[in-house]
Amino acid sequence: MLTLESATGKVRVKGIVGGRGFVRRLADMGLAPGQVVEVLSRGPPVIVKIRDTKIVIGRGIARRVIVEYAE
Amino acid sequence: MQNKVYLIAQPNSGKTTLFNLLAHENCYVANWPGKTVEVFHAKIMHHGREILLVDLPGINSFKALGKEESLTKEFLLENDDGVAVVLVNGESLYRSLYFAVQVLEMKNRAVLAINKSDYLERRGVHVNLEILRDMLGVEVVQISAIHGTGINRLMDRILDVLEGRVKGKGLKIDYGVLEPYIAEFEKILESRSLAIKAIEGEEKVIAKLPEGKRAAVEEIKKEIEKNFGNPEEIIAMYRHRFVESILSSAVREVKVSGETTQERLDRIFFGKFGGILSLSILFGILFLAFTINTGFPMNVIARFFGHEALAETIENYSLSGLISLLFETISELLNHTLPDSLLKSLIIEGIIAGVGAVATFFPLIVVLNFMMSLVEDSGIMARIATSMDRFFSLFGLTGKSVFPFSVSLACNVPGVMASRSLETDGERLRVALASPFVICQARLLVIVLFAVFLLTSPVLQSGIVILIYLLSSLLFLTATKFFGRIVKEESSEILLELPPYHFPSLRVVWWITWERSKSFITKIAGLLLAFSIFAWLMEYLGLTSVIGAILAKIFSPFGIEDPRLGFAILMGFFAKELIISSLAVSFGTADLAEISAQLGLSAPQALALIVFVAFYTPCVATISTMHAEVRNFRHLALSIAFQLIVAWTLAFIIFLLFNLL
Repeated sequence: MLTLESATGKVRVKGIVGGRGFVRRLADMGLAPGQVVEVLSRGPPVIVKIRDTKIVIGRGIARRVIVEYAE
Repeated sequence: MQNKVYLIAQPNSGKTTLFNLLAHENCYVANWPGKTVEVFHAKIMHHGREILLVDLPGINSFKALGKEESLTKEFLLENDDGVAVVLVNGESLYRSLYFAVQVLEMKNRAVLAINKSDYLERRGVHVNLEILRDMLGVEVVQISAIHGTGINRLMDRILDVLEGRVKGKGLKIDYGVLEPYIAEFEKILESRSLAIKAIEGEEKVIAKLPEGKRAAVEEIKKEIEKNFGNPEEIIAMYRHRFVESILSSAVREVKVSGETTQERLDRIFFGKFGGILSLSILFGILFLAFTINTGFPMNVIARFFGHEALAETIENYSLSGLISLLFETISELLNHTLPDSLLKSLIIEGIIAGVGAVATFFPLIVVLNFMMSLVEDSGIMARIATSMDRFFSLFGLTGKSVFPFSVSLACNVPGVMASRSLETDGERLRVALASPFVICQARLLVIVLFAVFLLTSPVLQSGIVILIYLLSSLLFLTATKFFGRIVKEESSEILLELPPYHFPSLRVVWWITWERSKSFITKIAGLLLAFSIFAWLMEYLGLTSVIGAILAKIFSPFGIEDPRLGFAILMGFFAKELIISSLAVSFGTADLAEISAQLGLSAPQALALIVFVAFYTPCVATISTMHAEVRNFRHLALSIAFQLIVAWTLAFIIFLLFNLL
């Protein structure tokens, strides 16, 4: 399964694995299912670009974001 | 109070700049009712109407992990009829509209302000405010807080809402498959916005429900989970889709720019040498702060190159040099003019000494606060935190911890204050409680002097200083782990926005610096003064030698029994630099070589003493600051006791090891 921890280039978020509130916390940072994000640096920490915003994501969090390659 | 206006925004959106612009000098700090979070308030006038402006702390998410988020949530969920001014960050339209939309779902008495219009113009981004207004159901204005444009229009719109001329329609997002469930919840909760929050799992909404209704809510949530999956995820998806639709219909980007300076800078920061660059910036700041404050280490460097006169000038004209000169002059003056009495002794040795202690701290705190807010406001802080994250994550900390840590190297007081910038309550507490393990400048001075005069071997002299710094970093990091167990949050993960770099606004930076430094004075000065008077009283009652003799017992396993050392240790509790002056007073000489000869310590004894002095309880100012940040006596006492035990144990181990050798 591909996660944000190991992905490169442009990917689409498929799902977020996490307990209560975790999804909301990421969604408020711009990460939500359906979003296309560009991985700028695999770090760790992972740096991604979501539209006009760059976000730094710790490895443990990135591991819980499931993605697929966007065409 | 009917005229309340709340500023709500995410960090980096320029909220502080806007507040500073609107508030002028009329702002004051007040605690949020029932919370320990401080909130800026300001009374302002617009067209003859008085408005109370409340600056809610910037939060990244409504599900953040710090106490600030609960304030904003409280405002959103309670029936507060204040007007919400939601500030949208023009540099990060998408993310910040997603945030704004959540506020507008709850509040229709609101105005949306898109900040950084100058940036949008430069980038060729055009926002159609009418379309935005129609889609969001509230008034929308475009402003530039830094240049002061659009502010009057914003104030007019706020007044329109306050006086009821404009009524918000309330934002309704279509949640697709969830709509039937929302309708069902709405019947139970009597509010659509609360219904959405309940489906999202907002504890504060669910907690308020009566027992019977709560069960019903849980029932429906289970059904959603079974049919569609995690409701939090589904809501986020629809909301993101809505924000996308806003952007595609209201925002047009004309120019597309290539690689900018921004990108180039980021490539350096996140490239091979990013870590070195980050550390150089941090140490550059520390070096500058040290030199401005005490002249050290610039004086040593000047002396090394043979410029004795320059070295002396640096020392005499450093901030703390000038301030201690001032206080010496005042004491001298009073000594000559006042008649001998108890009161005179209290004034000179108790009060002026105490005020002097606060005053010598103050410049360092101002300088450090200033440089830290420069780094913060320019966007560099986020880069340094990112490049340091890999190392700190080994200890369950985020890269942001590098700031409290490195500031603590200069002085633990602003170091503990800097822990406030950390994202979660848990990490703040862990770092604040562990900070005293970091060797500050005052302690460095004492350690170096002790090493030079108590030890004869140059290898031991430099060896012990290096060993202490290594131990100090290790102890700080492991102590954060230890305190993590206590506060039940053992690791934090970085989740941070990288704002674009820009030149900091000096006005805002200065304002932040001043507010932070002022809070040092108001919170800690009183305590420092009280301790100083207390020390004077003990001296007056002749209790010092008794206390010194008792404290010296700590060292009896090392064969040291001098009560003068015991008393010096006690004085070090008030301020570490007092250890040396207290020894000078009780030995009747300022010549450290003479003191050392009289003490006659063996190498293992001296090493044990140095290690103990390096790590035993922090000074009163640090403890006061920790108390102000942590507000938990149990945690505070634990931190102090832990340090004492560690200091003594380490001293004992060193003593044993060197006796065996």
